[in-house]
Amino acid sequence: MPPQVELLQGTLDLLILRTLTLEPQHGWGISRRIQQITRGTFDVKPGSMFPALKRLEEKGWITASWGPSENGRRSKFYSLTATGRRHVKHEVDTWRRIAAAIGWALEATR
Amino acid sequence: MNRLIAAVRNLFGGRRSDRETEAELESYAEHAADAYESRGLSRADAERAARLDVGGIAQVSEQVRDASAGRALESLRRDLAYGIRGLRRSPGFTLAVAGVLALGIGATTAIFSIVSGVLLRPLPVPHGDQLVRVFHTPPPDSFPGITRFSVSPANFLDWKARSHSFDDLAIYGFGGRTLTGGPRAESITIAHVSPNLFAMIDAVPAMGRLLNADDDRPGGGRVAMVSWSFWQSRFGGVALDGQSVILDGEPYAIVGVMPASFEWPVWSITGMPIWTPLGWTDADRAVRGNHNYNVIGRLRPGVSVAAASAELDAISADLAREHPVENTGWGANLVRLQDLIVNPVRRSLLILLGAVGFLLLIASANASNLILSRALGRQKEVAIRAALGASRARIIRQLIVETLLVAAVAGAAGLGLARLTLLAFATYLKDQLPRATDVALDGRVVGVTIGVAVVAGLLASLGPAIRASPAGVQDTLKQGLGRTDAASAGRLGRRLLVGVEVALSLALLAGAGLLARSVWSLLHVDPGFETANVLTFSVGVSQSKYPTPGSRSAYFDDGLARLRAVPGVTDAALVDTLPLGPGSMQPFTIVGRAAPVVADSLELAVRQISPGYFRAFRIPLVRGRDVDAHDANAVVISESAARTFWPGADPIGQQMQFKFTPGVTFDVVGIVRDIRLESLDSDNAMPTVYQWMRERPWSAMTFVVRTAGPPASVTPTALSAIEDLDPNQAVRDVATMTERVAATTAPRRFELDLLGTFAVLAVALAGIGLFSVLAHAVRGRSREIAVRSALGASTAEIIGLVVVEGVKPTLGGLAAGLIIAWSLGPVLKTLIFGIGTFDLATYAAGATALLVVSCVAAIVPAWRAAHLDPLKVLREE
Repeated sequence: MPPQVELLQGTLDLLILRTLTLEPQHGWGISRRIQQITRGTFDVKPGSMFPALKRLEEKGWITASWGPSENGRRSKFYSLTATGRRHVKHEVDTWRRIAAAIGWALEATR
Repeated sequence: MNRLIAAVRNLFGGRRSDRETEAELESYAEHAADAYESRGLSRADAERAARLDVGGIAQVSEQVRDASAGRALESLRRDLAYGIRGLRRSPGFTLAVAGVLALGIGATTAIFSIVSGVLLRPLPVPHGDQLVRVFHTPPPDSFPGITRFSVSPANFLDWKARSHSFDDLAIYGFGGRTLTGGPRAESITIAHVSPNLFAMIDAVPAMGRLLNADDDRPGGGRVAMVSWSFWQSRFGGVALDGQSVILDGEPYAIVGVMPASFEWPVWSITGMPIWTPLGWTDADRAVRGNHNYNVIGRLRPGVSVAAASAELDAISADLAREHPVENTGWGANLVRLQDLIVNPVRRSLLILLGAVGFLLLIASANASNLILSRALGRQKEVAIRAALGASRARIIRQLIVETLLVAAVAGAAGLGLARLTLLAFATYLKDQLPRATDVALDGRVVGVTIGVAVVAGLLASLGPAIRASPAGVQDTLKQGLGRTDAASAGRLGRRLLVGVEVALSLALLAGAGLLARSVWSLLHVDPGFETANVLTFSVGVSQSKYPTPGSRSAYFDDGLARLRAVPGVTDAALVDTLPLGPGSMQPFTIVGRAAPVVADSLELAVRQISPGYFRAFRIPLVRGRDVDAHDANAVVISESAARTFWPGADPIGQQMQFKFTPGVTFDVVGIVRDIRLESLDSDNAMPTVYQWMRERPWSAMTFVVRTAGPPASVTPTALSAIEDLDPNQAVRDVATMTERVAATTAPRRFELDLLGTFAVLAVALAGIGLFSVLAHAVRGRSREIAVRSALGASTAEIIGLVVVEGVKPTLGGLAAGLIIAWSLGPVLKTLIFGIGTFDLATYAAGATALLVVSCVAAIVPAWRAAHLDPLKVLREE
């Protein structure tokens, strides 16, 4: 496994929300998905995942309900709320701007 | 906003959230196990790998909870619940800590409520904080040491006209009158007031009307206002309907009755039974050189005392220029009425507040000791919690919350204690303090109590919190979670706490001891005259019935003769002012000597006496003789007067003249020993002269009656002898000299009572603290003691061991206590009399007392230690 990279709280929130824009998902599924879309860079453990989910749920950006999973296990599924959806777009735009700026900063030779 | 709602929900749904998280983690683990299984692991291996991924369920639950909104509040709630559970499991501990803290908090509350009511609260008078008393500052050469003097009418009127600092200025005076019309004649003091006095304090009459400017006619309109209590006792509280009072034979129509609420014990003018108008004539108004009146003013809002004072200084300077004869050297000063009333007790109340602060510290240290012991006993519990992930901050916070819980209970109990104490001692306080009726558990006091409880709780948890270290977790767990040497870890802390208690107790003991010795000294100081078996009372004869000096002299001479005829009376005489009280000072000149360069610069204390005064008080005659009836005008002087004004010469045969008796020349016929003329605790003799005039102008004198035995049995006969002489002249202010002497020591005895109580409580607490430390020490070292005893140590040696253990912190505490007490020396100085602040005897006594207490505290633990069964103890390990 590639070396673990420190994941900032806000970044994790963004990744979770991004994952959920596709479809509602349960905790393990989100973790697996993040691992996939970051090409293995981030392997989010429950110790980080569930507190983040709790925070997002309390902020009202995601909502949860229990239901059967794809292989019949009873799981708690999270999905984006309207507020959350709006927030994701805004966060993504901000992140893109920041990432670009940092990219330029690192490229600059003078 | 959503977070807020979530926070509130989290307050109550904590456990449900935990269960949900657990379920979620279970589900997660199942999914992970499925994934591993699909990659080829066996089910068992897959599940194990999944569990590893998840980590500790409890830990994750904790982290989820930490991320939840309102986490702080929720943890607080859990700490509280945990704390309450813990306290209920050990009720003995809870009661002990609460009891100790309640004692400290209760005492502090009681004293603070006194300070709050007496010193801090504004006067319960409308515009109370703006009221100021205005005095003359007399010329220092004529009146050395006196800074506040009565005011003359003309000066008052000029002040009023010329100053802008006051909303209003009013003036009043007192006078003695004989009240008749009732069953017997009464001698009362009434007040004559300027009509604006009542308006200045927004007074409203209960019946009728206030005095007004119309009543204030020259010669005095014959109208009066009376107080509620006077109205009740004299007229039975009927409606006002043209009744009148007869003062000195003249009827005064009563136009108004003041309500009962008008009488404020703090301000004498409001406690008068009768108020009449001043009734000044133009001649009265012009009087500038006689100063007999009192002035009260109301400062304009926003004007400070300093500003008004400066203005009056300027006006006084102008007046001195305009009227050089009467006003040279006469300035003005003002004092807030409130300060005037409380300043005498301000110092001692603040010192008492400091002393009770010590008591509170001792109580907190004691509580801390108990908490520390318990905390050390719970080390295994703490270790487990730390292993489960509780941070050190969390553990400390829980301890503090638990302590504050107990402190809250103690605070409530302390409030109750304080209230009971104040109620029980209400009458006692009334005798000792001005404004005692203003002492109450009001909002400010309750607020301070809460603050004190919080501070005490925090102090008490400080030591234990520092010591509660999960660093010892590993050791604790390794040592098998049994009885450990954890006791030794806390030993230093507990010894330190006990040392603090002992130190502060010594300081309190020293203070109380010094005070006790002062009171004893004061009571045993030789006043220079014999105070036992002397009855005193005053009579003021009415001017209208006894208009001439001759008639008045005849009255008093008759009185003395009758008194001397009473069985049990050995001597009777007269004096204008008794010793141990302030009296008249007059400028004088010696005939045949050049007058002093500065007029009126030679002064001494002057007392009017009758022959036999010195015999009555057993004041020794040093040279010459007493005055007698054959002398026209004679004086006897005190030794210090002789020394000061006739150094090396013989004063007997010389002649003197005095300012207040112009034209009269007195012969010096004798010299007497000095007495403590005005107070017991002044060491300097006041040069005194005792005057006798055959043509006496006196209308009020005090009888001094020496009795063979205790005066009580003779008093009724003596008083009726005087009353039979003329029932219309009232006798007042009856007291024995012993009672008067005791009254002068009353303030110090009050301080002593309180300080002594604190000291006793402090020593008791220190003793209890020591006892608990030793008991724990014995338990903690039981193995060591068992080994020693098994190896042949005698009972005495083991007892010695324990006692030494107890004496060590005591000695340390005593040393610290001496330093504290020594540094507080200047503060204590104001309280004491007759001894230096570093009185060896007192400190030695205090230290010995504490050492004895520490030995007593060691008895039970020592006995228990000596009777340990060594085999039993060693086997237990």
